[in-house]
Amino acid sequence: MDPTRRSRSDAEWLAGLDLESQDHPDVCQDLAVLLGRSLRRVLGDRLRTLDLDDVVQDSLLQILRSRDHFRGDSRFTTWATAIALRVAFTELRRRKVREGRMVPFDAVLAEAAAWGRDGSPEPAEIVESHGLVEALQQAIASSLTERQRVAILAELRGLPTVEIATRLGTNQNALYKLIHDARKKLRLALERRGFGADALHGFVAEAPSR
Amino acid sequence: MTDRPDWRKLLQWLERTSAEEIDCDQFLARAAGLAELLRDAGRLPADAAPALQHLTVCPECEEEFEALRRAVQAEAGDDTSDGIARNPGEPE
Ligand SMILES: [Zn+2]
Repeated sequence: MDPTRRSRSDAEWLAGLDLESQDHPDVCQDLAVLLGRSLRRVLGDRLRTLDLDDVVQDSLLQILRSRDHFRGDSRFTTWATAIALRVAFTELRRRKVREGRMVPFDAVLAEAAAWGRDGSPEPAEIVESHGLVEALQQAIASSLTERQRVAILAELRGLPTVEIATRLGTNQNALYKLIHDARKKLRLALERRGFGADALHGFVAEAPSR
Repeated sequence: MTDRPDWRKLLQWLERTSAEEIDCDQFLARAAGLAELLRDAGRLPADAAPALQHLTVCPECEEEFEALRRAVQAEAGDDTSDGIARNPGEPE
């Protein structure tokens, strides 16, 4: 049996993470081993481009900082793994941007500016949407603020939220709210153009899932 | 930029949009409990609805949660081989 995983209860993990605890170094070391193994197992080859030790150390710092938020509705180690996965995926996404494997943010900025200036810059859509996509394009052009347009187009282009937030000078939770507000505005604008929930649902149900 | 944005994807997000939504940090706070519940019971309680809705509009949390589920599943496999599974014999 693996001693790093099985020999501690949640309470013991938490107590050991206390900086005052004499077990602190051992507990951190064991948690690092456990997280490293979980990440390797789940992310496999994708970890090639990352320094696993760095990811694990960053994860440990975050876990230490937020351990008071552990709610006890899972094992402590599962909660810690969830945090480590967020750290790892965020780093993978940052790296994709740095290595130029994503649409550049500046291209999205230019695209959003063109929408604001010229209205929907595309010719009529080719997909059979009975006017829904055209209405959506009009709504993007006329119902959103510039920041909302940038945020939603950037997300649609697959840019990582960590990059969008940094470039917009905000944090990821504020960005989520910005995008959520944008989605609500677009829904309302579509409704006003005659495309209510049923029309949306019908279109999405017909559309091949991504 | 010459290629079109993926309008279908945006319309899917709009269709799944709720008036009130939890954000990514609020989802992360629940993710571990949900992953274990899915492993142990194979389904989620009604109060998990906001978290499930978040997954339908947030591709990043969806990607991370899938990975967490795999981690939790793999760990359960280890437990079974150790003979100390939490809910032995219970289906996923
Ligand atoms: Zn999210």
